[in-house]
Amino acid sequence: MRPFPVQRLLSTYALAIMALAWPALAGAGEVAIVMSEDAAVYRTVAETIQSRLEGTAAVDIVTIPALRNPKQKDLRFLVAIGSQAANAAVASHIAVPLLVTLLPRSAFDRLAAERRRAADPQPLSALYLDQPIGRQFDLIRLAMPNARRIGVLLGAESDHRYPALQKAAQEKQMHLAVQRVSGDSEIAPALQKLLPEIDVLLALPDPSVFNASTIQPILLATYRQQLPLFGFSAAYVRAGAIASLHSTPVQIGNQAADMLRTALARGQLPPPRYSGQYTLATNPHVAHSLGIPLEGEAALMRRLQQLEER
Amino acid sequence: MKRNHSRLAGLLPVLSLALFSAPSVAQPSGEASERDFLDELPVVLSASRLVQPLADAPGAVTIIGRDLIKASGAREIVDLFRLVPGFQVGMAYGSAPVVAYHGLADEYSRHMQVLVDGRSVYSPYFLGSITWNSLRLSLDDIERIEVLRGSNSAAYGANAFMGVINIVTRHPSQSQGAYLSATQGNQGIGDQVLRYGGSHGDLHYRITAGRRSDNGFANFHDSRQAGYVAFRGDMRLTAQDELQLQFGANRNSTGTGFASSSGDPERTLNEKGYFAQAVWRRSFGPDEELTLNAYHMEDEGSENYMVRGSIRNPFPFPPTLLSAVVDADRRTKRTHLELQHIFRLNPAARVVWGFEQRHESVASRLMFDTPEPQTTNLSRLFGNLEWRLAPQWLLNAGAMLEKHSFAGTDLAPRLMLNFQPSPEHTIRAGMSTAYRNPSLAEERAKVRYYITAIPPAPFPPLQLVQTSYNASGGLQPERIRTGELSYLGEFRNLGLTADARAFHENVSRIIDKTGSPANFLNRHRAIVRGLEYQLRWKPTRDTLVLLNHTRTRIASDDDRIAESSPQRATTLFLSQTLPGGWQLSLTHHWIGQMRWLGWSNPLPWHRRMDLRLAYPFRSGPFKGEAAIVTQNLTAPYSEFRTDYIFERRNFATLSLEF
Repeated sequence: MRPFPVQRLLSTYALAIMALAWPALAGAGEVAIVMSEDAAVYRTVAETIQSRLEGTAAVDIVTIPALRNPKQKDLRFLVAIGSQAANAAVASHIAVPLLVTLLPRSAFDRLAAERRRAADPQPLSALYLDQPIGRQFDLIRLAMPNARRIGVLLGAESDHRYPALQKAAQEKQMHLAVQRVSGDSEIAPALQKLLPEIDVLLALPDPSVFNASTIQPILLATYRQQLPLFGFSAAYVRAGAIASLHSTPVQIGNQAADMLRTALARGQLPPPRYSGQYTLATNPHVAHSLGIPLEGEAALMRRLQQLEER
Repeated sequence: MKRNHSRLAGLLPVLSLALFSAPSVAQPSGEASERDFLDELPVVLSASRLVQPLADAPGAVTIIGRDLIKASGAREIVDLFRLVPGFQVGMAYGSAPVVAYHGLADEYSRHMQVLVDGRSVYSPYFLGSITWNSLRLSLDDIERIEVLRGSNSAAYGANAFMGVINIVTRHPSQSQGAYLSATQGNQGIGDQVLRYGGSHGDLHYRITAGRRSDNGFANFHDSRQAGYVAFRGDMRLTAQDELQLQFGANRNSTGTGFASSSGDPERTLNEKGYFAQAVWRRSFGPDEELTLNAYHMEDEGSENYMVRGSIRNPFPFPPTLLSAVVDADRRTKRTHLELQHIFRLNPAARVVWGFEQRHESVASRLMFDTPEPQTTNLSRLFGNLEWRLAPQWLLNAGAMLEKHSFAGTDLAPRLMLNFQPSPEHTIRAGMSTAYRNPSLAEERAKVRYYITAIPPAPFPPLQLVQTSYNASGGLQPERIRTGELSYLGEFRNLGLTADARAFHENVSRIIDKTGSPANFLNRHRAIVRGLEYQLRWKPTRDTLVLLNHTRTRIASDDDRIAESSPQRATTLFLSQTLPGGWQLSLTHHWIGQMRWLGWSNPLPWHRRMDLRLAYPFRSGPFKGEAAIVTQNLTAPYSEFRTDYIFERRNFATLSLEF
């Protein structure tokens, strides 16, 4: 069942109205933040950056249509929040360095490649939304000290992470088991092969494998084998994953503001990075039902941070 | 009328909009974006899907999962209960399987509640029983069976008198694609299953059709053919809401009666029935959920036959010939509506509560001497509080208030305290009171045979009426008061689970028939005491060992009841994956002497050994398994009556999935 495009229609309509009323990057700020759409999460990131930079730099918050008509003289840095804004910002060729955030690393890698192809000389950097793989392995290690075999399902959008996964597994002395899938129908047979070989399944942000329709069969299959799933968003934990690490919009805003502060001081953007601030969510009911003695969120988070600091 | 209509018409677009434009959970797959992190997902492992850890369960529970179902070599569901401590399984009159826990059962085993996905399959016909041949279910559609050993009326109402068997079928997303299976064996065994599972957007469904047939016991007219079709569709409406629809129908034909009996002649019982069920579930998170469960089922049996007899007359007159047409056709209906709410009161306490409304009717001219349907209404209010008093102490306090249209109002409480001094050990102590409501027949049976007597000429034919049952009514529900102490040891590093239950079950007001014409009265009492344990050892992925042992003593004013459970029973089950992928399993039962109540006689001690050898294979898109099973490799033994001889059964099964 495809969604009835009411929401999309409405947002397009709202954007069109906004574009008429607010046609250009007409502010006086040194930093302009472009949001993918005027929705709560993008606004939270944007406003967090704005308030953290108060007194350091003037910040304008706009939406994508404003990019068509850049007239701003004082602009030093452009920030794009979300994939759509990042695509539009890259396509706009506005001649200032661009920081993109609230998008996964794979989306950034694609953008960077595109920018290279277009021979756009403007610097590009990112604050990724996903978590470094090593951090996720650390969490698994701390939450389940006896788990050594980590399973992943790789699809079109995550296949390129394989070397990084292998490397992290080696560093953390874990065993990595991989099944590749290229379509919904391949997920069940892949799980059948994978699950008997592993202690935990790690979900990766790849909509060709993990999406709202496939999460049900995946979770049911892991649960039947009494195996936990580690997710990458709060929604995963609500759905039935045992735990997930993710960065909230406020945490992303804070970290992006820090990067911008450095950039404003030094005149250049720091290199792309993962967020140093993150949140741990656990599902104690699922852990209990799986017979996994899981520590409380706060204690586990403390130990993870200690491990990361080392 | 018209206004109502237009109001409804106005509602329709709103409803369809609500269904189709609700924040859809489907998302086009494509490039990874922040949507993958930010979008809502459906709650999959909701409160009712999460299996309660054994250590938290308010009583002893045996879980039979898919692996065990397969490895056991079971051909039908009842075979699986042979692997549960304290259970007795037999094949009674007319190839009707009977299952009992701690004895007290006749050919209409009615002391257990059986639920399939929350739907009671307890038949209200005659004395009440589980119609195992009409479950409309293939073994391969089962996800797991939870057997709650011990009465559980507090959660499942009357009929959950000695225990509850909870059959949970697989979510259709777990059985996608086609599945075929064919079984062929001696004694006329021939079973087939066909299944297809598919999906359409957010709907996952499966449809299963199957047939089962065998010749029953040698020298008895009890062959059976059962055919069924079942559909289950699960549709996600929003990230929070799920709708499950199930339909099923069956048609059975079973041999019954005896060649040598003129009062119970050989005949065929033809049964058919259907059910429809809808379950709507809204999950607010992993620990809060609202479920609305509604179902309707109808079953009918047609069994018309002629009874003949004669009365000898003084010489030289020929005998008077007697004949009666017995119209044993029946029709039963049940409509059930249930609302259940699970929520967390605070981090230490969880509550399940809800109410049920049920309407049942039984129409049977034979049973009630009228074609008018007899009806029962049932209202229930139930609740259970799971309260972690301290990290090591868990209290389960529950009760069900049940109002039955003729058995009155009863409160069935249960209290269970679980003490877990370390993660390996759990000790449970508790007590409960439970009831079994009298069936419509026990309360109202009025069985009259209208006999035509043809005396020798010149006397004219006569019409006689013989009353064989005349229930006086006014029965009280049977009552059981249970005290139990149980232990659960879970040694994960050894792969060992130990479960022991010591029980004291005080059963009173046991309903039994007496006199001529027969009347049902609350007549007997019984005290069932004993100890049962199960060891489950899975040292590696390839090996599983189960050892069950039960010791039961029944003291009763009725000798037959006192003998209705074996004093000792032991089962040993071994399953091993061999090199090359072969799977071997072996079951050995030692069952002490016992008797079923009703139409049965004492059965001597017996042994039974089952063997299964299977070879799973994979070839391209096909996955399959070839298996051979031998049930009862050892000497023939008696199943329900001494003359029902269970001889060696061999069958082979080939299954394919693609």
